[in-house]
Amino acid sequence: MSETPASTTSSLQQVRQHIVALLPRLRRFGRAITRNASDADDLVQIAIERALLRHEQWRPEAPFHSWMFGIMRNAWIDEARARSRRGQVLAPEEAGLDVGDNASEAQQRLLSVQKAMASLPDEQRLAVALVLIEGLSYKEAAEALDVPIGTLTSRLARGREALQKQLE
Amino acid sequence: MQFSDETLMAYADGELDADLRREIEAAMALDPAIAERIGRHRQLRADLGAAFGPVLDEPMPARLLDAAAASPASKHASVTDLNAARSAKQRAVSPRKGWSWREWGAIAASMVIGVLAGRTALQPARSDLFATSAAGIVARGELSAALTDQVGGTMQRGNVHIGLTFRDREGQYCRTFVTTSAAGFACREDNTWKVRALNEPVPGQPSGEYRMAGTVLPPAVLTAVEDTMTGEALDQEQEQAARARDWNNK
Repeated sequence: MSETPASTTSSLQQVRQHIVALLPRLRRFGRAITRNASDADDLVQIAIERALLRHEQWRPEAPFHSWMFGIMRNAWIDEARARSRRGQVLAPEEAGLDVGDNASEAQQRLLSVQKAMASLPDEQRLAVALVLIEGLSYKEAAEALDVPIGTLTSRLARGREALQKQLE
Repeated sequence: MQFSDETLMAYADGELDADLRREIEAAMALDPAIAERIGRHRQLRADLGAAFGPVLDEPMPARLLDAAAASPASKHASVTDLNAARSAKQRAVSPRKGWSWREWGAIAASMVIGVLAGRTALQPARSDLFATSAAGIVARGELSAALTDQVGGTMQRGNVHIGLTFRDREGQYCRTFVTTSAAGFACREDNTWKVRALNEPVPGQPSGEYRMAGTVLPPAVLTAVEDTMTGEALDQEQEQAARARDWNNK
């Protein structure tokens, strides 16, 4: 029977385990903020690499997901800036591309939700994705976005209003 | 009673304290318009969940698992933008979908555990997930349902995550599981899931939501799996086929 004292578990290993456990949600968050499946996984990969490089910055008393979503958010902002410097247009949204006329009503609904999400300004989309899709508390989401709670709630309120307007 | 939309959003998001919550609930009972506004907020959350939730069940790209298992020091390529990631992806030829056995093994890291296998006297703490019978320990409740129903390595329903599916020497189907308080594997025998290996966290370890690290199997469980497994782990299609036969190996 192999036993390793918990105290020797390095922060790198802990971060690795947390990342693996969180992977499906990182992909979902990526999909919600990038509007494009291939960008989403690229973003997740970048965030994983950054998190492993900076594993010592994670404090175990803070929720891992807030830290990790924060890294993804920063990576996404960096990417958006880099693209605008290069004069590159953001990748077109995929929503709706592969759906024929016979898509069911339910599918149409999902696509229109994705489309509405894609139309939001970045900061509102990030707030909506963290709270309404990833289920973070306001406090956790504000930490991940590195903004005061009041800023988070007002972005969330505006994002929500815009989505509801488009979907009704 | 008037409430701002932001307050009603906070109510729908479960962010209000008990006093304000009670006030709103009282107001809702009197004024259907308030209930309707809250209903809209909840509907939006449900719509977003439905639109993006399916991503969770998609097969996990091997490159992301590789990235999580890679050593940070070995990274020499620039990872500063998506173009770099994209060209790295194009270099990596990986036809694998989902979790391979080796990946699970590589990712499992040091956790304090003890495997209690077979007939050893064992008193699992979560008795709503395990039952002790003459034949040993069998899964029950949510765990039994998850072992029977869940297919696909990245899927999670409730508090149980099912990982690998494989066959033992007798050809019986076995599946690994991680719950919020235990990890192990169980094999299908006589229409029940008999628990062959189980570990529960050692007292004194830090507690919390990530204590079991979600989907990661402790090394001693992996060793027990390796000792039991014959052939390769099942892929998603094979899991579906086995489920369709109710995990009967005949």
